[in-house]
Order: sequence, then C-alpha cells, then structure tokens
Amino acid sequence: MSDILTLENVKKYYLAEKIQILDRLFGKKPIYVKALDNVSITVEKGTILAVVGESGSGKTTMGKLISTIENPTDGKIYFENKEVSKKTLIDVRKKTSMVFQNPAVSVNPRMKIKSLVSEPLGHFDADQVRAMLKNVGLDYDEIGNKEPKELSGGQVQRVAIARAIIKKPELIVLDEPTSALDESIQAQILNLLIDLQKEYNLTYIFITHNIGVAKYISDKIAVVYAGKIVEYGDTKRVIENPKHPYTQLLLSSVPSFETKDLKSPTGGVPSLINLPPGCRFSGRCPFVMDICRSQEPGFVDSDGVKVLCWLYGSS
Amino acid sequence: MLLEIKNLNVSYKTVNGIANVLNNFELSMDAGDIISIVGESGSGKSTLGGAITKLLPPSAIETGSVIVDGKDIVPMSESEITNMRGTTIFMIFQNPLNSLNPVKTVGYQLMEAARIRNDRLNENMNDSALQKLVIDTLKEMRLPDPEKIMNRYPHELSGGQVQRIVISMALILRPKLLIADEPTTALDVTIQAQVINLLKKLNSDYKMSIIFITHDLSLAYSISNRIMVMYAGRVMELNDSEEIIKNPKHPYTIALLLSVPTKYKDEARLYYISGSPPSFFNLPKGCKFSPRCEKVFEKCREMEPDLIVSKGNSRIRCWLYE
Ligand SMILES: Nc1ncnc2c1ncn2[C@@H]1O[C@H](COP(=O)(O)OP(=O)(O)OP(=O)(O)O)[C@@H](O)[C@H]1O
Ligand SMILES: Nc1ncnc2c1ncn2[C@@H]1O[C@H](COP(=O)(O)OP(=O)(O)OP(=O)(O)O)[C@@H](O)[C@H]1O
Ligand code: SF4
Ligand code: SF4
Ligand SMILES: [Mg+2]
Ligand SMILES: [Mg+2]
Repeated sequence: MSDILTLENVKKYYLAEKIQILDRLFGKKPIYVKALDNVSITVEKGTILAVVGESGSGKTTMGKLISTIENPTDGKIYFENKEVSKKTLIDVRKKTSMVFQNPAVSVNPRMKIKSLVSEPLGHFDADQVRAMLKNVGLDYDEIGNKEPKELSGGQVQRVAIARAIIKKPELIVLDEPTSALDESIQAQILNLLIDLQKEYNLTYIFITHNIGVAKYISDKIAVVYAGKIVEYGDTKRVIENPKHPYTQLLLSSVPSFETKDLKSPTGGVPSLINLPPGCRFSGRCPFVMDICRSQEPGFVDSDGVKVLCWLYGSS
Repeated sequence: MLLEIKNLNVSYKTVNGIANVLNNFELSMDAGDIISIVGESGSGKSTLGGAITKLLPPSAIETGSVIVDGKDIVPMSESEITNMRGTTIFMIFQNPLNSLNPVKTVGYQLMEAARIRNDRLNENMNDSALQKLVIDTLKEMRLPDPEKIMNRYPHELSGGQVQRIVISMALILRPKLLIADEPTTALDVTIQAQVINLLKKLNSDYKMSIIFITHDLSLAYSISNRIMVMYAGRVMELNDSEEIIKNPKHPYTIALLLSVPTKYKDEARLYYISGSPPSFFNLPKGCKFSPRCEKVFEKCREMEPDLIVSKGNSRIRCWLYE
C-alpha cells in the first residue's frame, strides 16, 4: 500500500500575544504558543486515522496544516510522496477537503445551502446536490434555498460534510464532524463515510473527542497531548491495551451508563509557552519517575504501538 | 417554581412559508432541577433555549407564556429582559463563538461579565478582586497560561478553549437558570468531567437550575435527574434519567439508544433509524415518528398521541402506552 501523507518534524508556533511596534522599540521579544511541536506521522492511502486528545493540544492545527490552510513554522509535509510547496499546492488542494470544527462560522453565511454544497463541483448540479443532501438526512426542497443561519447546529454540520465529500477528494480532514448530531444521524453518517471510503479508496483524518466514534471508524489512532503525538498505533491495540498514561486516563474517563460519577482530572495544566523540561504529562502522571521531569522521552515501540513515554524504555 | 412554560409556540418565517417548530410546549422546573434535553438534530432544542432567553432571530414568532423566576418573559420589552439576562438566565450557545465579540479580547469580555454580576448584586468587589475571580475561574477550567489567554481574541483559541471561556462566563455570572446548549462538544472527556463536576457543584451549592442540551446520552445520564427526548418539535418521552436510560419506553428513545457506537467497524454495521427525518413543512398526520417507527399500527397514522402522564415523573407520547 502507498502512503498518501507524511508529516516530518512538523512544528506550528503561534504568537501568544500581538507584538506592537512600541514593544519592538523596547526590545520586547515575541513569545510563542507551541501548538504543534515536532510531530511526525505517516498515513496510508485508503485508511482512516482517528486523532483524539486533549482540548487545545493541536488537533485542529494539524488538520489545518494538512489541508494547507496554514503553513508549518518548521518541518515538512509530503502529499503523495511529493513535498507540499508553492508548486504542488494547487494539486494538493484539488485532492483534499476539510470539514471544520465550527461549521457555522466557517461556511459563507450569505450563500444558499444548495450553492454551498455544489460549489466544489465547479458547476451547479441539482440532482447531485439533492442526492448528497439526502445521504446526510437533509431534504433539498426544505433547506436548499435557506441560508446557514436558518438551520440547526447539526443541520449545518451535515451541510459541511455534504460539501466536503461531494467531489470525493482523495484525502478528507474531518474535524469533529458529528459533534452536533444525534446518535442515529451520527450512525447514518459514519456508515456513509465508511461506504464512500471503501468505494473510492479515500483517506480520512478523523478528529474527534468521542472515543466510541474513534473506536468504530478508524484503522489507526493517534493520541495527542500538549502539541505532541504521545501514542500511535492500530485502533484495536490502542483501545484494548492503552500504553501511555494519558491514553489510559482518557479511555477511563469516558462517561458511561454504569455510573453517574465522573472523575475530575488532577495535577497541573502544562503551559504551552514555557513547556516543562521533561515529559509534558509529568505534572499529572501517576507513574512519574525522576527522568520524566528532566528529559523528554522519545518514541519507543511497544507491542507494535508507538509510545512517547519512559515507562517503555528508550529507543 | 423557577421555570414554567405553558402553551409555547414558536414558528419561523422562511422562504418556503411558516415552519411551526414548537407546538403547545410545556415544561416546569423547580430551583435546583437539572434536566437534559436529547433528541433528533433539528427537533427544536436550541429553539427552546432561544425562546426561554428571548434570543430568537427576528424571523421567529413566539407566543404563549414562559415564566422565569415569577415573570413572564414573552411580552417583555428588550430592556426588561436585558436586566434578567446574565444573572437570572444565561444561555451558552451551541456555537460558542456566537456568544463572544470577535474584536474584543476574551479577558475584556470576562471582566465585563464579572462587573455585571458585581453591580447587580452589590457585591462590592474592586477590579483587582474581579480580575482574580476571572483568572481563578480560567484555572478551574484547566486553560493553559490563563493570563496570556486573557489577552487573546476568540479566533486565536482552540474550539474547546472557546467553549471553556463561555462556560467560565456562566460560572462567573452564576445565573438562577443556566441553559447550556451542547456546552462540552469540543472538550476531551477528562476536561469534560471537570466541567460537569463544576456545574454539579454550582447546582448543589447555589441551587442553580440547568437545562443541559446534549447528544451524548451517557453525559445526560451523568448530569441530570430528568431527561427529555425530543423529535420533530415534540416531547416524546420525559422521565427520570435512570428510567430513560435503563428502561426506555418510547420507540424513538429505544432506537436512539441502539444507535450509540460501541463496537469496531469490522464487527457490525451501525444501527440507525431508517427513513428520512421529518420536515416541518410536511409533517406526517398522526404520530410524527410513525413513518420510521418499527412498532407502528393503524391508529398511529391517523391521530397524534398526547403527551400522557403515565406514573410518577413519567410522560410519554405514544399510542402503545395509552
Ligand atoms: N491563531 C492563534 N493564535 C494563538 N494561539 C493559537 C491560535 N490558534 C490556536 N492557538 C493555540 O494553539 C493550541 C492548539 O490549538 P488547536 O485549535 O489546534 O487545538 P485542538 O486540539 O483542536 O483543541 P480542541 O479540541 O479544543 O478543538 C491551543 O492552545 C490554542 O490556544
Ligand atoms: N432562523 C431560522 N429560520 C428558519 N428555520 C430555522 C431557523 N432556526 C432553526 N430553524 C429550523 O427549526 C428547526 C429546529 O431548529 P433547532 O436549531 O432548534 O434544532 P436543534 O434541536 O437544536 O438541532 P441540533 O441538534 O441540530 O442543534 C430546524 O428544522 C431548523 O431548520
Ligand atoms: S514519561 Fe514519565 S511522566 Fe511521562 S507519561 Fe511516561 S511515565 Fe508518565
Ligand atoms: S404512536 Fe405508534 S408510531 Fe408513534 S411511536 Fe408509538 S407506536 Fe410508534
Ligand atoms: Mg480543535
Ligand atoms: Mg441545536
């Protein structure tokens, strides 16, 4: 199988505060939020990668870099084994699309729904739009002439999905695409996405906070914490036998019908500006050792899963 | 009684005509109640929240009575309702960016909320005390570098960080009735647990009532004493959380619970309710769920069932339980 996407030591730093001219005069140095820090990953064509992890850990940033909406501060991104650069950008954009986390603010508010969905086609095709909307549980006659603000949250989200898949691009980044959907519509959409993926050999990067959804839809899972991928491997292996202490915490915090009690997290929140010297999870980790506080762990292989943690030795 | 909704009707004027979303809607809540609303996407959950806070768009027509803390808000003027927003009722919007001003820093907006509460309740805190309150709240929300985040604009934060800013606003304002419309969709389950526990604490310490709109049935189970299930603008079932989850009665509730993903994709295809979601311009006669219901029988297609009281807290709209 061939690789469709590779990130190599990718970094994305944002300015933590705007630097004004006056600040520069007085020699104030810019400070950065390290949204994504040295991330490397390879995605095989025709597979589904779920990205789960902490809120604010860099998942959307990763999605935006992959769909070339933002440029990395450092590192390289390869699409179909060619480095993404000014020269290849048009081709990459033609073959990718993204469903944004906040569809209500990322779609053009003045456009009618039917135009929004058909826009990627380059021409208007009512039959195709009608069929696509039906696939996501929406009725062309009812909403085709409406504007996004006249729809419910979950309806806009489905419009955004319809728009992203209508041209069946090779690689689709879906950022929390079912967060505003009821369980039945969510199930219908997940089935649809899987069908399309099989039929056209598509690749998805599926960002979600819903562990049940990640477990169901993906072939591989990447777990992100504070700007780093901390665990990566086959979905079944990661779900059944999570290695990284953060992954373990995440999986054990999923709300269930067994108990009404939810466990609040303990320990400090790592700064993304002044990162702690060693492991980023050390302030919260129940297994923390001396080395964790001083040196950053590197990736090690443990039962076929990649883990960024000193517990599993060093590479 | 903190909230009493009677004969509430909400319709939207659209290019295709008038869509009648909520019909004779009723709901009562005591101070300290937490009720979750789950159900079909597009069934009117956010519309209900907008109706209670009088924040529906101009194209909406709202009639009936919504009595909050002893006052009917439906006939109120904008200035009267403004005095109640924030400290009496506050709504966390489904799209949190809608609650924030894009050209003001989040710190500025949180300080404004803190001052409103301080002024209205004569709490006599000075600006530095308010600032401390705001930063402490952000810390409780587990936001990294809270002092720096105060200086950022909403679009410079992650989806879940924006959500936590708006939740912080609710914690600072501490309203009598909080309507939280899918407030944790962008949070990972560990931070979500923190937020839910903070809301539960406000509820037990100050009797803050909460209407919690969510699609996550386990979350609804965790936070609320009652769950209300909506479909096509109607309440289909309303009961104690325990009962809705462990002993669901309405065919729609049962189907919804069956659709929750628990397996791997190579084990089974996901169950979902076949057929199309209803359109408000073309609602079926009879029971609104009848075209998709596995238990449908003759009568269902002819007449719409009422929301009947079965026993105790239980309400159900289905001919099977007549
Ligand atoms: N334009 C920006 N300026 C400054 N900081 C930013 C900007 N955009 C994002 N960040 C910061 O970068 C970090 C990563 O953000 P990102 O949106 O990628 O997180 P995420 O993993 O998608 O989180 P969530 O699950 O909450 O959506 C966050 O700490 C965020 O505050
Ligand atoms: N401004 C508007 N103009 C016209 N129709 C609207 C408007 N806002 C909402 N609607 C319609 O009213 C119905 C109820 O919408 P509402 O936003 O209350 O649903 P919801 O239950 O919150 O759904 P979701 O779970 O998807 O957020 C939907 O069918 C929607 O299309
Ligand atoms: S490296 Fe150390 S602190 Fe970090 S997760 Fe592993 S054991 Fe915990
Ligand atoms: S009334 Fe009939 S159609 Fe409606 S939910 Fe009950 S059994 Fe199904
Ligand atoms: Mg995000
Ligand atoms: Mg809604």
